Parts: sequence; C-alpha cells; structure tokens
Amino acid sequence: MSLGHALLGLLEDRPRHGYELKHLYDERFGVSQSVKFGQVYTTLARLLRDGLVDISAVESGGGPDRKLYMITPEGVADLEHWLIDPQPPSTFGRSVLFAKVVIALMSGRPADEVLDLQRAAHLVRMRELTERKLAGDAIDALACDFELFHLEADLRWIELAGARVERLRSPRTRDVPE
Amino acid sequence: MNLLRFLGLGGRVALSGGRGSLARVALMAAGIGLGVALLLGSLAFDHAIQAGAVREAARYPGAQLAPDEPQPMNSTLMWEWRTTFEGHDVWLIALHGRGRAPVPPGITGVPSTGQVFVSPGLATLLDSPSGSLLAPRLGGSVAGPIEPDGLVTPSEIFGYVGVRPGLKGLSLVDGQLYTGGSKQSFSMLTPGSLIVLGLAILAFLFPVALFVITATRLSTATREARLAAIRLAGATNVQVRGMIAIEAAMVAVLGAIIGCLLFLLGRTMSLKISAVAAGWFPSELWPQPVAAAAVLLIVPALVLLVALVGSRRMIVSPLGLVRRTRRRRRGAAWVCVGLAGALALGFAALGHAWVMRQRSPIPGVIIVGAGLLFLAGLVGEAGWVSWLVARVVGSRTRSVSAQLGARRMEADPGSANRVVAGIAVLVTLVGLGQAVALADARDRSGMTYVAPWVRDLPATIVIAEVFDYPVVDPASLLNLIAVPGVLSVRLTRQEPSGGVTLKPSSAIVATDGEPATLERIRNAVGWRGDAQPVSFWRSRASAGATERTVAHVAQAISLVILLVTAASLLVSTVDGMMERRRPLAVLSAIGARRSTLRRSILVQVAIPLAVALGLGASGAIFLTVTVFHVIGERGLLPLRPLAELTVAVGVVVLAVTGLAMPWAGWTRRADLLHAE
Amino acid sequence: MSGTPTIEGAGGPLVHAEGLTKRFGATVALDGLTLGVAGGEILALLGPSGSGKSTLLLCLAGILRPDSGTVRYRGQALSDMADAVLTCLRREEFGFVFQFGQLVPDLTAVENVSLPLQLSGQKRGLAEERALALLTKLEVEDRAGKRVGEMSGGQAQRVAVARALIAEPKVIFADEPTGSLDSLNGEVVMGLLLAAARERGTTVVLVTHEPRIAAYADREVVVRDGRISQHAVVP
Ligand SMILES: Nc1ncnc2c1ncn2[C@@H]1O[C@H](COP(=O)(O)OP(=O)(O)OP(=O)(O)O)[C@@H](O)[C@H]1O
Ligand SMILES: [Mg+2]
Repeated sequence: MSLGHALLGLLEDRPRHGYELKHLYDERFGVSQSVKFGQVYTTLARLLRDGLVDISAVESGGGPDRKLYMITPEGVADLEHWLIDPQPPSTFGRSVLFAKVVIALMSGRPADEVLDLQRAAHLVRMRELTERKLAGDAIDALACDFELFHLEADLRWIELAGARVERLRSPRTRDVPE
Repeated sequence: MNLLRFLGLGGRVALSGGRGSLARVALMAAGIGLGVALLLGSLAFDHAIQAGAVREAARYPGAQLAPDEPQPMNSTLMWEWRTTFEGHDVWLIALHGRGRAPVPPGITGVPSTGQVFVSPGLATLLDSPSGSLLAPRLGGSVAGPIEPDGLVTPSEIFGYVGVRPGLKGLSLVDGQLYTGGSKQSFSMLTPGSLIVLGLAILAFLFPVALFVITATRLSTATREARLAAIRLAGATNVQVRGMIAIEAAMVAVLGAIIGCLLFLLGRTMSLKISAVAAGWFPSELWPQPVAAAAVLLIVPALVLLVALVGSRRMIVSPLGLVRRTRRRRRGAAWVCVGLAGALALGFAALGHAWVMRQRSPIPGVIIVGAGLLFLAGLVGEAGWVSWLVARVVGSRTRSVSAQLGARRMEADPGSANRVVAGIAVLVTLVGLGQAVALADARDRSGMTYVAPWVRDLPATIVIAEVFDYPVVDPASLLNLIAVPGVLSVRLTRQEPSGGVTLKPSSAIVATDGEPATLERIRNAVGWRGDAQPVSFWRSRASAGATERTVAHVAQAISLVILLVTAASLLVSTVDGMMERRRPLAVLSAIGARRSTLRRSILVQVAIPLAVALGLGASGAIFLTVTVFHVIGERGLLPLRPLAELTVAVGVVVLAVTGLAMPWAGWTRRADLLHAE
Repeated sequence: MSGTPTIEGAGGPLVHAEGLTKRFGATVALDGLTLGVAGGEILALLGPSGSGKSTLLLCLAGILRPDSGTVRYRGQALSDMADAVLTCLRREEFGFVFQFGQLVPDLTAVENVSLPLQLSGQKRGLAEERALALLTKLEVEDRAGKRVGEMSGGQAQRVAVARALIAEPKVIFADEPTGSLDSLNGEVVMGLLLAAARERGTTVVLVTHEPRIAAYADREVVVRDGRISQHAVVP
C-alpha cells in the first residue's frame, strides 16, 4: 500500500487538513496498523514537491497543521495511473511469518503442531476481524475481508508446506491434503 | 479392427455401470424375451390351429345328391350327427359306402353297418361310469380307433358310424357325398371374435412393451452422467449414439435368446398341463420356421430402431448435468384422439345393422381402428389425468406423505404414465374380454335368451318343441316321469323364450340336478343333431361348469398381465428411490418417520393405479356396450370382473408398496449422507 | 467472542461425546474421541480430509451409531433411545445443513422448508406461511415456488439453511455448508445461518475446511486421525 496514493485518494473529493487525513486513513485503511503523523507530513511534503498536491489555504492561529491541502490535476492523473496499474503480489509484513514457519519446519518440529498453533493464533485475529465485519459497514467489511483472506492464505500455505515437509520426511505414508 | 475395438468399448460401457446398469440390461432383455416368447407361442398355437383346421376340412362332404337320385357306385354317403353329453360336444359322422368308396381320414375303410370307430376322447367317455348312457346313441358297437391323422385335436370326441340308409331318420336326401374332403379349411373365427382376439393379443403385448420401456428408463440419471463422462473424454455425439446402439443390439440379441429359451420352457411346461396336451398335437405346436425367423429378426431390429430413434433426441453434453425443468404436459390432444375413436364407435353402434350387412372387411377394419384410436386416446390421456390428479393432490393435501408422494409423481410422471396407460388398457380389455367370455358362456349354455322364469327354476330342465317338428307329441313327454332322477313333469303353454302358445308346447321337468338325469332324458326324447325335435333349456342351477372355466382362464390371463405391470411399477418405484436416495436419506435425517416414507410410496403408487382403474373401467363399459351393439349381440356388463380387478389392483398397490419398503429403509442408511 | 455459552442440562454440556470409536472395515474413522458442546455455543470442527469430521457429526446427531463410546444429549445417552424417539429428537431439536443435495427435488422451495414443521404435525398452510417468511428473510423469496433444478447452488443452500432453521431447533449440525459455494455466497449463507443462530441462542456444530468460515465460531476444535488435536486448544 502506497501511503502517498492513499492520501491522494482521500483528497480527491475535497481539500483536507493534515490531521484530518491521518484520522481518515486510520479509519479506512489502518486495519492492521495505524499511520503516524510524521509519516503523513513527510509524505505530504513529497507530494507538494512533486506538484501532485497544493496548499489551498493557510488558516491563521498558529501551529504547523493549519494548512489545507488540495489535489492538483497532475495529482489526479497520477492517482488514476496508479489505480489501473496492477499491484505486484505483496509479501509486506509476511516475511517474518514466512521465516518463522520455514525455520520451524526445517528445525524438525511436527508440521501439525506448527499449523495448529499458528492457526489458533491467526483465528483469534480472524475472529476479531469477523466480528468487526459483522458490526461495521461495507467499507469496513472490505477492509476486514482483505485481511481475512490474506490470513487464510497464510494458513493454507502453512498447511501445504507442512504436508510437503512431512512427505519429504516419510514419502508414501502420507498424502498431501486436498 | 477399429470397429471391433469400438464394439468392445460399447459393450463394456453398457455393462460397466455397476449393479444398476446390469439390472437395466437384464430387465430389458427379460422383457424382450417375454415378448419374443409370447409371439413364438402364439405363432405355435396358430400353426397348430391351422393344421387342425386342415384335418377338419378333410372330413367335409363335397356334394349333395339330387332328389330321388340313388347312391352312385364307388361313393360314400355321410350324415352328420351331433349331440351333447354331459357338457361335451360329441360329433359323429355316419357313413355308408358303395363299391370302392372314398375313405375319410383316420380310418382304413368305410365301416360296415353297426361298426363304430371312435377317437381316444370318445373311447374314454364311453369307458367312464356314465358311458353306458352314451353308448345307445352310437348306433353300433366299437370296432376300432381313429388314427391321429383323422383327428382335429388329440382329445376330440369324434366317431365314424357305419350305417345303412333307411334306418330311422336316415333318408338319402339328408345325406351328402364324401369326395375326399374340402381343400379349403374354414376359419372357426367369426369377424366379431377376430376383433376381440386382436384386442386380446394387444392386451398381452402391451404390458410386456411397457415393461421393456420401463427397463430402458432405469437409472437414467446415472446413465446420462456416464455417457456425459464419455463425451467429456472426447467421444463425439455420433460415437455415443453408436454405443447406445451397441447396447441396444446386445440387449436385443440377449432378449431373442432368452425368448427362445422361455418359449421352449413354456412349451414343455404347458404340454405337461392336461388341457394343453389334450387340445394340441405336440408335433404341431411349433411356429412355422419362416414366421419364427421373422419374429427373431424383426423384434431385435425393432428394439434397435427404437433405441436409435430415442437417442436421436438425446444430445449428451459433456457437462452432463442437465437441469431438470418442469415440462408442459400434452393431454388435451389425446383426449381429442380418444373422443374421435369413441365417436366412430358410437356411430358404428348406431348403424350396426348396416355395418354387419357389409361383405367387405373395410367396416371391420374401421371398427378395429376406431377401437385402437379409443385405446390410444385412453393411453395418452391416462398419464395426463394422473399427472393432473397428482398436481392437485400435491398442492392441496394436508398430509406430508401425500405431498411427498404426489409431488414425486408430478415431478417424474414418466414411469407412472406408462403404468397408468398399461393398467387402463388392461382393465378396458379385460373388461371387454370378460364380457365376451360371459356372452360366450351364455351361448354355450344353449340359450340366446332365457325367460327369467326358466333361469330361476331350481335344478330343472325345460323341454320345448323346436319349429313344427311333428316328431314328439308333447303329451308323450309326460312319460318322462318314468326316467330315474326325474321328480315331476308338467306341461306348460309358456315358452322358454318368453312367449305363450295356444296349446301346451313345453314340458317343465324337475330333476334331481344330476348330469346323468339330463342324459337319460335326452336318450328318452331323442338326441340326434339333425333330427333333434326338441331343445333343452336349463335353469341356472343346473348349468354346467364349462362357463366357469372360461371365466377362470380370463382371470388367470389378466392376473398375469397385472403381475407384469406390477413388476414394471415396482422396478420404476425402486429405481426412483435409488436415484434420489440422498435427499431421502436427508429426509430421514431431519426426522421423517418410516411410516411417512411408507405412506408417501403408497400414495405415489396408488394415484396412478386409481386413475387407471377409473379410466379403464369406464373404457371397458363403453367398449362393451358399443362393440356388442356393433356385432349385434346382447352384451353383459362385466361388473363382477371389474370389481374383482379393483380388488386385485388394490392388492397390487399394497404389494408394490410393501416390496418397495425395504429399499426405503435402505435409503435411511447414514453413509448416504457422505458426499458421493 | 460474543454470546457467552450457557451450560444446559444436568450441569454438563448440551451435547457430550465420550470415547467415541467408529470403524469402517479396517479404517478407523473415530478413535476414542471426547468432545463437549455447550448450549448456545458455535463450534467449528476443522481438520484434514478423512480425519473423521463428518463421521463425528453424524454420531453427534444420532444418525450414525458409534462402535463404542456414548453421545449424550442433555445428559441422556442417544444409544438408550429407540429409533422412533431418536427420529422425533432429530425432528424437534436438531437441524441439518449439508454441502449439497439435501433438498427433495420433487418439492418446491417453500414445501421443502415447511417440511420439518409438517413432519411435526403443523398445518400445511401455516407451515408454508412461516417458510415463506423465512425465505424472505434469507432473500430467496422469489425462488419460493421453484424446484432445486431451477435454483443456483447458492439459492438452494439458502433454502437448505431456511429448512434447518424453521423448526427453531436447539442444535444445528452443518457439514461444509459452504463447500460448494463461491466466497460471497459462502459468506452470505454463513452470515445468515449464524445471525439466526445467535439471535435464538441455537447451538451450532459446523464442519469446515475454511479458516475464514471457522472464524465465525466461538471455538474451534481440530480433528486429526479420529481424535481431537491437543495443540489446537485455544488459550
Ligand atoms: N460409509 C463409509 N464406509 C467406509 N469408510 C468410510 C465411510 N464413511 C467414512 N469412511 C472413512 O472414514 C474416514 C473418515 O471419514 P469422514 O467422512 O468422517 O472424513 P471427513 O473428515 O469428513 O473428510 P472430508 O473433510 O474429506 O469430508 C475416512 O477414511 C473415510 O474413508
Ligand atoms: Mg466430510
């Protein structure tokens, strides 16, 4: 997820202040982790430098966050380009899990156990997400589903990886599930 | 080589579907076998009947003497004597030869006066305890047997009597010259009985055809899935059709073989039955080779044709999963067809006098056609009516089991349709056949019409003068009181046919009801067919047993047909349950009682049969009334046989339901809940 | 975790299986399995293919009799019940949803849904009225007069859910109810089933392969080689 593009998307319908952008981002996209103010402001500075956003007004009254940001025509074009360009499969945040499972399996721990433990942990999170999904609106559901499907994919991968490793250990005694 | 491999593949496909498809092939072959056996059997009987008719014709006289002409040299004069003895027809031919006289078949020379040659049947009758009552009628003593080549049937009661003209009642004028027999055999079948016979054969083959069709529809879903899998594997539609044809050919050949075996078995078995052995010469009870070959070629060809035509409409898609949607039923068209037939029959009945006067066979053909049209209409609309009934019951009923059963019938009415049609036709034709049998029995009892006062007399014989024969003085009939077994004799002016005469012309003879008494009265009054001065009218109480045998045979036949139809119904019901065993298993999982399932099967079986019975009974009554009217005979409504059939069909409903139950129980098995 | 499970019956779980063993020939489908399901609980059964989940479900529902071990419902052993009593129990207290092929193909959707009510002796008119109301809730009322052949898999599955719910059973047994559906239809069917279950405090035992679907449950149990896997006990 590119933060810059997310901010551009949030600015498209009307100009907003920096702090408003941060809260909106957290609400819409920050399901897994919230964004920091500093990140938002450095990103906005980069967008300003590249001419993708502009400052439409500065309110008096002191403080650094009194600027009202608006999207420029170049910004709209860039956002559009990004939207139609397919996203490369992301392994963001999953490299840790990958490393952990691979190390666990290779170290000779039972695949079933690795899977079951990981699933138990995953399911706690998945249950939270499901609850939030059922309680929230459509936008919430989209965000939750996004993460739910990825978590499920993790589990499926662990399941498969476990079975493969087991088969390597004792060929023929066990079949790959499904 | 390629073709051979293809043939092998087709055969394997036909047989490889597990128990279901094996059962299908077996049932189809069995049905075809039954049909072939029936056809071969009727051809064999036809052959035997014809051979008998030829031998009968060989006895017929060929010329009449002119009045006052003396008997020429080297000629045989014959008189025909017929009498009835204890319910048997006795046929005697009296012969007088001059010079080198032509000899009728079965004997070596014309018997001399007082010599009697008897058939084995007549010999047996003479040897029986009451034979002494028959012996006086022969006019001579037994000199030897008649050889089989002179007999129509092995048990025929027949004799040649050597006589001298001038004997009591034997004038030259009455005699006829025997010239070596007639070359042309006479069919014993009148146009009327031909119509009925045609319908009867139809009634026999119909349920068999029904059974075969039911078998072809077995486990359709599984079969379609298998064929779809073959399509998916890359077979073209033409190839799939080829496989269907191979399967059909296999079934047809198997059926023909089974048919031959069944025929042989049936022939051997039926020759063990005394009635068959007595009625037919075993050597003649074979179909003629040409006819047999035709059956063995045409039936399999027909099966193949039907399979190919049937598969023409079937496009097996590789996807296989064809969604079943509700089809519109065409019933109104069939109602019209039936009505057209009914109208034609009605008109024929109205103008029956004209119809029977026609010499050409066209009116007969038209009447049979109209009858067939009526039956076709009945067949077509029967399914539709039962579907309608099922629909109404399904949407109105309050009972779950009735709902399940009726909806099942409505969703897949094919098999029920065929059964309904079959039973409706069966009931119609059996009703008609029984009406014919009843009328026949009535005719055999020697009366076209009997006034109620005669019928209701207890164990009484009424003797009435026929025509104006001045042979017997009615008053002399009073002497019959001397005959043993006669209880009283009184003269009456009432005629058995209902009229009243001026002088007493009939005698009411009360008897003890013994058959021998009747024969003694016959001997006392006069008995010869050509000179019989009187007619005998029997009350119901003294009627013979022959009438009842006819009715029994008809009942047995209808029972067999009913059983074949019931087998079709059972097979299709069970097959239906097998095809939906999963939903049925789920049904019992959600708590359907065993009795609910049982009642739903009952409803599913009972609806078509009840509809069929209703339609069939009305059809039978209509056909009886019109056909008899056309033939110009007074028909009897077959109410009793119809009532008996109703009971039989009721038993069939219960039996089929009972026999299908184990399978319903089987569908309760939990492992069916596992994904297939 | 929403909906605190309530313990019903004689102080124990609503459905309790102890030491269940079931063999099919040489195959051991269940191997001394012990499991309790609390009243109002939504329990997911996970595990690899052939581990015995379906067998367990059928044993819990009294459709299959285990070779040894007992299943108790409200403290009463199912093996002590006569077939008629079991049938009645399934009709009045249990509901079932399977992966496919459970609707009677000859009956319309409404008739299928009203079947459990009619089987327990309700008037047909009334039963069908309630069935239609439930179908409306599950958004398939436009298929009410159709038969299975005229429905999509998802629609048929919703009808099946309606049938499982209509008699307001105490326990619903579901064996891969979303197995043949796409993700959206799977979500919708699960959502409808579980919303209705939570609303009424119905206990649900759910067999599934999909962790996403399992996440709808209050608790997961992993079945492995006919036994409950011990690693998977959630802290
Ligand atoms: N009726 C039966 N006859 C023979 N074996 C059976 C039968 N039912 C189940 N089995 C066997 O018992 C074992 C457990 O089957 P079960 O259907 O319970 O597995 P499952 O966990 O439901 O699998 P899946 O996830 O694939 O549905 C399997 O090895 C299966 O082959
Ligand atoms: Mg399973």
